[in-house]
Amino acid sequence: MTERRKVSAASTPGFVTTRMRSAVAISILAALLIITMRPTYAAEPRPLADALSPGRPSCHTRVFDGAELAARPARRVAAIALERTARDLAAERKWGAREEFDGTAIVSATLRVRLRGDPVIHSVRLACARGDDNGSLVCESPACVGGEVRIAGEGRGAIAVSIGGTLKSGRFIGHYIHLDASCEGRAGGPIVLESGEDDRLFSLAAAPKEACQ
Amino acid sequence: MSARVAALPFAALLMLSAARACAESPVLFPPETEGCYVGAEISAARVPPYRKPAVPVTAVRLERGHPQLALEQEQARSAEGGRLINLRIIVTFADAGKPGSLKRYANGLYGVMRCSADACDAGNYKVERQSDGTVLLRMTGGLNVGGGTDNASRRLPDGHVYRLVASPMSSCR
Repeated sequence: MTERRKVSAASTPGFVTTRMRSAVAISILAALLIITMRPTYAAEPRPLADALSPGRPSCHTRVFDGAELAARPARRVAAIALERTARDLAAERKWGAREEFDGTAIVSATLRVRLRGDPVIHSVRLACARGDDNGSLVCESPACVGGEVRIAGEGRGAIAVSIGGTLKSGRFIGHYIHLDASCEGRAGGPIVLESGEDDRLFSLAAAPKEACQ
Repeated sequence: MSARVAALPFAALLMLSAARACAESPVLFPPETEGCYVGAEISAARVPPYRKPAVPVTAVRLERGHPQLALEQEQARSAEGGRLINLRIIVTFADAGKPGSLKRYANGLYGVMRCSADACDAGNYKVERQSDGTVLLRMTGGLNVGGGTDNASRRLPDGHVYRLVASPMSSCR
C-alpha cells in the first residue's frame, strides 16, 4: 500500500521536479562535504625535510665492503644510493603547486643499486608520497607501478630505505621495487630488488653529490 | 631442452599450488595473506568501448602485498560489517611501451573494498570468487587507473569483466 502511494506521488510532474531539485541539492552538498573532508596536507611539514630538504639537492649512499658482504652471504645489494638533482627539485616544485591528497607525489629521487656480482648500476626514478604515519615517504616507480620502498629519517641527515615490513603479528611480508623502466617488457624478466633475507633495510648516510654519480 | 622449456613445468606447478591455496582458503583475500591474481578481459561483446584512447586491456593484475596488508591492519573495522581489504589493480594496455604510452596503469594506493566470504566490493568495481578458484574483476561503475608522474589516466568502463587466476607473487611484479 505504502509503495503504491509512493509510485503515485512520484508520477506527478511537481513531485518529480521537487525530488530532482532535492537530489541535485543533496548531490552538491555531498560533493562539497567530500571535498571538505578529504585529507589535504597544505599545513603539514614535508616528511624528512631535514634529510631531503625542499629546494636542495641531496645524496645518500651506502656501500658494503667485502667483509660486510662476506658476513651476510644472502645480501644481494652491494651498493645503494638515493639522489635528488636539479631535475628532481623541478619536479617537486611542479608537484608542490598542486593540492596534496593521499598518494600525491611530493618528493622525486633516483634510486641506484649495484647488485653483488653485477658490475651494472641499475637505476630507477622514484615518485614519493607521504606515508600513512606522516613521518616517512612511500616511493614507487611511476614507470612500473606496483612495487615500493619506504624512506624514513634516521637522524643526523641519514635515511633508512626499507623494502617490505613486519605486520603487528610479527610476520614479515616481503616486497620489491623495479630497478629499471622495462616492467615485464624485458626478455629476461624484470630487474627487481626484492626484500630477501638480508635486503630489507638499508641505512644511507648523507654524502657529497659526487658519491651518487 | 632449453632452460626456459625446463622451467615451464616448475612454473605451472607454482601456479597450480597458488591457485589451490586460494581456492581452499575459507574466504577471499584472507587476513595477513599476500595474494596475486593475473588475467585478461572476458567481457561480452556489447560493453562500452575503451575511449581516449580506444586501446584495449591486455593484462590485469590484482596485487595484495605488504603495502596493502600494512594499511589494512591500521584501518578501523567497517561499521556496516564485513572485512575491509586493499587491492592494487595494475593494468597493461595493448599500446604499453609505445612512444607516449605508459607500460602500466594502476588504481590509487588506498583503494578500500568491503568483503564477504566470496566477494569484495569497492562500490565501482567488484571481485568475485568463482568455484574453480579464479576471480572475476567486474566493473560496476568503472575505474580510473593512473600512471606516470603527470597523472595520466585511463578508464576501465562500466560493464567490463576480467577473469584472473591465482598466481605466485612474482607474477605481479
